[in-house]
Amino acid sequence: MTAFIARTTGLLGALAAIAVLVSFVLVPELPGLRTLALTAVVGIGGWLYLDWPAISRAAAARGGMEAARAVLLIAVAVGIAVVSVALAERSQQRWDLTPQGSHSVTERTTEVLASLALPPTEVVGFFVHGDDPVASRHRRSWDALAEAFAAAGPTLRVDTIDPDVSVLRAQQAGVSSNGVVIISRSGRSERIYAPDEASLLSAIVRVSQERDRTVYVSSGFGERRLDEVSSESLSELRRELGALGLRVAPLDIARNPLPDDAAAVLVVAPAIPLSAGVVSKLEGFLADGGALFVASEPQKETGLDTLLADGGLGLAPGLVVDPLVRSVTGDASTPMIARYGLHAAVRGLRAPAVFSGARAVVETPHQPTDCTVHRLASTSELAWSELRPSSEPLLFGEGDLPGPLSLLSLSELHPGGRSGGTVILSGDADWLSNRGLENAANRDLAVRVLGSLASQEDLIALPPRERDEGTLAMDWLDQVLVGVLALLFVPGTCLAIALTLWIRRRGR
Amino acid sequence: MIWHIARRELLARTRSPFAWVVAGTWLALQGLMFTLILGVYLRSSREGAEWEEEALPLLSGLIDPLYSAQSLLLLLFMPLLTMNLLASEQRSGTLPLLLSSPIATWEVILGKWLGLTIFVSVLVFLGGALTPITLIVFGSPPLAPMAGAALGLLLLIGVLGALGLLASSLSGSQLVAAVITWTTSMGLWLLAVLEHGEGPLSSLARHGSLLIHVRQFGRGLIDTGDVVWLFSFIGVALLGAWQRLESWRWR
Repeated sequence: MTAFIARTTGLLGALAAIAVLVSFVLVPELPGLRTLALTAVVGIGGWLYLDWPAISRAAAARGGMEAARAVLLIAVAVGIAVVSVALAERSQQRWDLTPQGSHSVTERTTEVLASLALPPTEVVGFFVHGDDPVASRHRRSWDALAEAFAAAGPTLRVDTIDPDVSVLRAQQAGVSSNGVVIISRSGRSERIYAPDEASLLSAIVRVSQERDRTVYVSSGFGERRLDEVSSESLSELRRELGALGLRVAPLDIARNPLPDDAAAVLVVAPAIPLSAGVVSKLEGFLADGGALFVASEPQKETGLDTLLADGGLGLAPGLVVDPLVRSVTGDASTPMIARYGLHAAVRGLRAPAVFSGARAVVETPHQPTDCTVHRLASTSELAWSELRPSSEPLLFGEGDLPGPLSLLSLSELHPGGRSGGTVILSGDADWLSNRGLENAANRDLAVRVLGSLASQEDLIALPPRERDEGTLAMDWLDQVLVGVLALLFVPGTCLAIALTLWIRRRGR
Repeated sequence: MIWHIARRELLARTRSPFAWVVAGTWLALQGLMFTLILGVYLRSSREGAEWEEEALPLLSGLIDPLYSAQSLLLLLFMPLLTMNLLASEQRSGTLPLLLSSPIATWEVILGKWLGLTIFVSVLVFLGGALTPITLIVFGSPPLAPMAGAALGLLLLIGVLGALGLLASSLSGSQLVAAVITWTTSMGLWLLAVLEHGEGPLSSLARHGSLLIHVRQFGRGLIDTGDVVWLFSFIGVALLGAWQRLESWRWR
């Protein structure tokens, strides 16, 4: 009985010793490491003390010393292996075999990251790891990006959290949606959505700089206010943008110049057209690479038609009607976004947002050559722009514009081939108000679009990657042929060989 | 001498109907997975084209899933091929004969491991050659990541072969040896489920899981940490098997 207890204690001690060795090298943060080490010492010591007669007999017996030597040799080998792995992980070398370098960052990113001084920058991505194929694809992209940044940035601490698993940490960070990345350093923090290399690098650089970024909301022309607590004001939007690390402030552009720290300017539902002086200041702001967001009320003029037309954008006459929404709510004048574009500002968004009494955003008939227009959010094919919205029944008629219609478009200006400003135009302003943000996925859309716009100004330009990821084209006959070869011919050959061998053996 | 034992092991495998039945079943499942994954990839590509979405990358849409499927099949079938490496010699009583010969124990271990590794590698790469042939004939695949995936499979075969050899040295029963190999490899594989949690368990999974150390090869990334981990695993398992055989000499 004593021998059994001694050997069990010894076994537990040995297991604890292995765990201590592995943890000490690979997982030093494991809690209770000292207790584990004490367990190992007590366990092995107890075995030696209690079972000493048997141990000494075994050592004196034939093969006893060899057995001890073998145990020692294996322990040393395991130790060497653990230390080798730890060293290899610490001085990591990676060979990225993908043609477009999916697992690596560009040289420019490496240079920028190498220039960052201490203290370390914390980068935490909140990505769900689940069965949903889209979420899974985003998670894989993030994992590759996170690994590439972690390998390239000596002062970066990159971590990934699954908000479904670590609910508390997600709540503490105020994360409620998938695909959020929080970058923090020395008390400054910023969050970005659907990150790519350029946006993540830019955010890291921004938090490293002692500079505030401010989004200015135009005032003085009857625009929506920031400071009111009413259903029509933008106070909730201010709070949301604040969470991204942005300061949001009103600005009477007619009386003040546009400050240097302006990350973006928002013109939301002016009651009267902006004056020529303000328009001129905004044109200058855009020419210097600024970012402008214009949200217009359907019946009001903004005075920005020429500025918007220079970016290839305009508003269609009439109101967007959406029979798809009418069949659910009975109101056709609240168009629903059925599809998001491929631009980074809306990448990954899927849940529909709902506008209210919106005009469609159109591309001007004569598109300027020095801008690129992206549709960010569009209605379904069933919607149309109705010239006579008060007529009943609402039917698509002459002069109406067929769907799908853009409700939100972005124009990237590049005058004379150089990088310029960015303009986003929305044919509705209600969706940004306190009441509007409560509807459907409006909040997500507003945060993503405005957060992305405010980052445009200091987005670090990276060379585009070649998209040589290989192609495959097969028709159904090719597929059948390959299927027959894979399913029947190859395994059939093996089974035929097995049968032949078996018959030969039986014949002997 | 190592090569001689490896050759003997290889010949024994090729003359065994059981090995070919295992290989045939394995390749049938491999073919089934290939056909299914190919079908899903082509359908997703067609649907993506209809929605004017970016083309599904061949690496993440086809090559990586095929690599994962192939790895899982190795995990399932390798214990069946490794279980009789030493267990049958113990059971039939030929082990003392082998050990009394002038061949060094480490040569026996390395030879047997090498023979098995060559047999399984030939099986996997010849039997699975349809995959690269299909990709090259009907498309333009990225060749370097495919080579990386092949290296990953080769290392996984080495790891599972070494683990199987160790298990086979521990027991005279082939069934017990197969169960030991299967449960150990599956346990190390499934350790990856803890990866997405928090704290030390997640860290332990990242360092200890076999899946985590082989999956990057299928994504076109070779990491020294993974390569050293896999070689260390092979080394320790072969050392364990060698010491186990040495203990037979002392008896």
